[in-house]
Amino acid sequence: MTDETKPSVYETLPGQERYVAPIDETPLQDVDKVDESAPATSMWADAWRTLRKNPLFIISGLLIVCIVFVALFPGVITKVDPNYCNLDNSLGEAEAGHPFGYDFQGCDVFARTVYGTRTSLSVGLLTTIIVVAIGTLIGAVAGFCGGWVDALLSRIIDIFYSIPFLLGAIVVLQMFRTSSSIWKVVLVLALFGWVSTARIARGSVMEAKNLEFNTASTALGSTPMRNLFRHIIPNALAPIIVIGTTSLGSYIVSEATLSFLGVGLPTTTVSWGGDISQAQVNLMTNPMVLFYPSVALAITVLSFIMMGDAVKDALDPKSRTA
Amino acid sequence: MENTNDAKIVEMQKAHGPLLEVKNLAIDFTTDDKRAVHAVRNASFSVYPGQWVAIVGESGSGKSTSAMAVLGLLPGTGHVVGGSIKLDGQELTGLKPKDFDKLRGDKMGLVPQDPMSNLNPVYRIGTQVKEALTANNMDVAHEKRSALAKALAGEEADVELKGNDDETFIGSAELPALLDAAKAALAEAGVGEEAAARSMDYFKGEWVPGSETRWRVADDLIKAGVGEDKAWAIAKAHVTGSTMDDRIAGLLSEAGLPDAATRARQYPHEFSGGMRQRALIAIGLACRPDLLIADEPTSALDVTVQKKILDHLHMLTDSLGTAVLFITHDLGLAAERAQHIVVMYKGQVVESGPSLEVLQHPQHPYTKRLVAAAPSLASQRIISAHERGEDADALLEHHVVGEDKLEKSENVIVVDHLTKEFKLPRRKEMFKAVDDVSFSVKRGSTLAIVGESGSGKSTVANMVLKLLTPTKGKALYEGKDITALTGKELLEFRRHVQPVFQNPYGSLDPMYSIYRSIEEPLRIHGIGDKTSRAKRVRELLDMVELPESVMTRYPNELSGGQRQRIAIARAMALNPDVIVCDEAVSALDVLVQDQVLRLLNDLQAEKGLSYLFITHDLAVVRQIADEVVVMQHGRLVEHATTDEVFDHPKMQYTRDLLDAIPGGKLKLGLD
Repeated sequence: MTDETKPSVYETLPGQERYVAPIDETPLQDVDKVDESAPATSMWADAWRTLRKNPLFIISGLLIVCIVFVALFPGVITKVDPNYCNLDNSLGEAEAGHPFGYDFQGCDVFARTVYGTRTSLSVGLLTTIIVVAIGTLIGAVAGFCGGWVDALLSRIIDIFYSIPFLLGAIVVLQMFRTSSSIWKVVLVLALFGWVSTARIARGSVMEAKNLEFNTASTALGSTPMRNLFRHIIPNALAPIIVIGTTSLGSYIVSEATLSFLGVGLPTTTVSWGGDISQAQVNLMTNPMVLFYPSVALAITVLSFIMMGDAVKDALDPKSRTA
Repeated sequence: MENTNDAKIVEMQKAHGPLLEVKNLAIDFTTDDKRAVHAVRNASFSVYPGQWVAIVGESGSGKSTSAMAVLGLLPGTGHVVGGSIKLDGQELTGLKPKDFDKLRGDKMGLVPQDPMSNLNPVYRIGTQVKEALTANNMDVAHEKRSALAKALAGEEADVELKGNDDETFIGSAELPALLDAAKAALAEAGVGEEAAARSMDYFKGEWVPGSETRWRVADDLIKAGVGEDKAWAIAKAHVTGSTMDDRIAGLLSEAGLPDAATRARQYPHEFSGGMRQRALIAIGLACRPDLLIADEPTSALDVTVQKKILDHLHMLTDSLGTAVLFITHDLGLAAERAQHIVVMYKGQVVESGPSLEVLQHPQHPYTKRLVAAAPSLASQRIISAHERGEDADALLEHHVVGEDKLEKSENVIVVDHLTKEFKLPRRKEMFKAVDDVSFSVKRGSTLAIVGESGSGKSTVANMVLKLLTPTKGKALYEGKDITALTGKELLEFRRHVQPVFQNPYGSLDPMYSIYRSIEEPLRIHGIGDKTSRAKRVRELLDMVELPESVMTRYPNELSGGQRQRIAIARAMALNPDVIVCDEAVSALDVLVQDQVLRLLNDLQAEKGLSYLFITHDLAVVRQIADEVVVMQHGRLVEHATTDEVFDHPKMQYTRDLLDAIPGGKLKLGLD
């Protein structure tokens, strides 16, 4: 400070004197230093960390693990054949080895409930996989191409939306009465289920398409198709996964509904929906026969819906209610 | 007169004591896992009535947080944990939200940062001003003036204000009668025809309903030659108070909105960014607060608009005697506007004092750093082209080895009568975004395109990058027409011309790790195998001075400046000749901006790169460019060397841009 500071027009007022903080109080850091201490996180790693701490996820996760185990190895849980029915045991009380008693046909309710898991779970999983695959593809193409392709695909989606699901499913399933494969139910559910996924996929692809990193990639020499598969779809995947997980439960319910109505799986296939349908005749006298498959269905569906909620919270923290 | 007035104000300020006194303020934020993060520590500063005080700091320094604490508007998890905030002697810490409601608007006003999101899109502008007035039960018929403002007004007009009546607003209903009476009075007083006509024009311009008051009308009449008694008689008879609509229009017109009565009936989407900010200023000042907190009020606006708005705000607050707490990241702007500067860093006040003194003799190392980096204050290119020259040539030759040895022209990019028209929705005529622009980028040098938003500068960049097709004209790279390139040639072109985009948050795929992001161009162009690519990524990270550990990280974990350095590393991966930087440093804090600019400069020196540098900030241009192209409304306005443009600007528009650089005219005492 060699030269005289020019006196400012404004006199220094009390409390506004020159102040310089001691340097050791605020040590200078390198400009824009990388914090190397924090663990690396991708969006997925971040989501996983949030999920791990979410009790909803832990509970539903454990339940789903149990359900999957039962579905894969029903023989470990019960040695009883669900299709061995003895009319002598009709509506029999619970006894050793048969904890849930017998149904009207004299079949073991516990065994049927256990074996029904596989049917429900396969229908749910297979439908979800097909729905997500088809829905994402069609939605992504519509959102990515835009123009007339989008207009055409969007109208097709609208047409499918306008068909009442149950009515459509019954009509289609009537044509395949004779088939006993679970695939007919899966395909029908997928036929009417892909539209909602497609709509969501279209929306999120359109959003991801306009993000700047696509332009950046194009300028690096990337082609539009490469952009779609390498950048846009991965970035649009989160909401699709959320709707996939949540709707898995609803597909299981739909299968049960269709089986209950008698258009779903044939009675020869063990399924919760079929068993509930059979049990309703004896609802007044033996409510427990209805109770077990219903509870199994409820627990399974609830687990998947809870899982879907947890995943949604983790992937989209904004949707969380404070 | 100026000085005696100033002295008088200082006397009043001294007598009044500080309007806002913040002492040892401490603010914590609670994180998700219940940890306390110290956002502000030990912050002390004071604001006197009628004074502009600036808080300067980078993002995350706690400057906005401190201001929000004063307003009682800390976001959810933040709370004051220590210290005191006194407004006019009243302690604000620990006040209930209800009590804050009474203070906000009436005593304290806010001009928020982002004019785009701070107006409700479903309400008319006028309704939103009205809301501020009715929420505080403002008397719309009379002006409310602080003691300081009264003293100021008295000084200016030599009238003694007698009570509330003299502060009655003009109403729009009575304005015609008032003007007629004024005309008659002028004739009666024997004022010459020409002078009378001039006075009448002046009255028509000045007497804004809902803004001008009775004593001003009287004063104007007296000055125009009407006798004192007559003037007051006219003023009393015809200035009897304004309606709510008048007042709203008056406030908007005070904030600098032309044709305010019509504007008040419009919706925010019909306003430009600058107009919205003016509306927000009108709302902030609607209830005549003693203290206005302006949180980066012009950071989102073009420099020329910024200058206009701040000039206007200055005039307005001066005449109202409003104190302004001005939050900014721009040291030059702060020094230019405020009398007192508070520099914050990492939640603490590191230095404060009279603005010029702080700027000329910074003492804290952080302030020194800030002064050194501030682009608006810098006076020369970071590294002079001359100094760099030899080195670059040597490296350039080295770089060329192995490529075709064809003689290359001096210009690497030539833009030849480039024109781009866009079709506007619901309009027949085409919109000319770029209109007949020609220039060329010399090998190894930097050409900057400067212009405000909407000047077409980014459109030019996108055409040079072949992201847009020009309507007319062409862009040439090494003599080849860029628009005609396809297939292999296009890929080859992409390899040599690389972009760095504005938004460091958007240009990196959030799903890609940093390693994958930098590796992507190598993959696309099928260069090297896995190991050699990994080696190259490491080299590139080293080049942009980032540690290898960031490779496994994701963009969301890095700061804006770090991401921008990653984007530069990615652009450098293919050893390009040309890098097109589209507002590459605009979103960054000054220190980080300075760091990135230095990096770009070093890379240019080392690799002989040519830059096409798009920016709205002339101050940055001086630091990086050799040549400047100034664009306005799609047309090229001026093209010259950087020194030429700064020292002898030819066009008025360029001069306006130069004038608008905040703090550009401040002299620094740096050695």
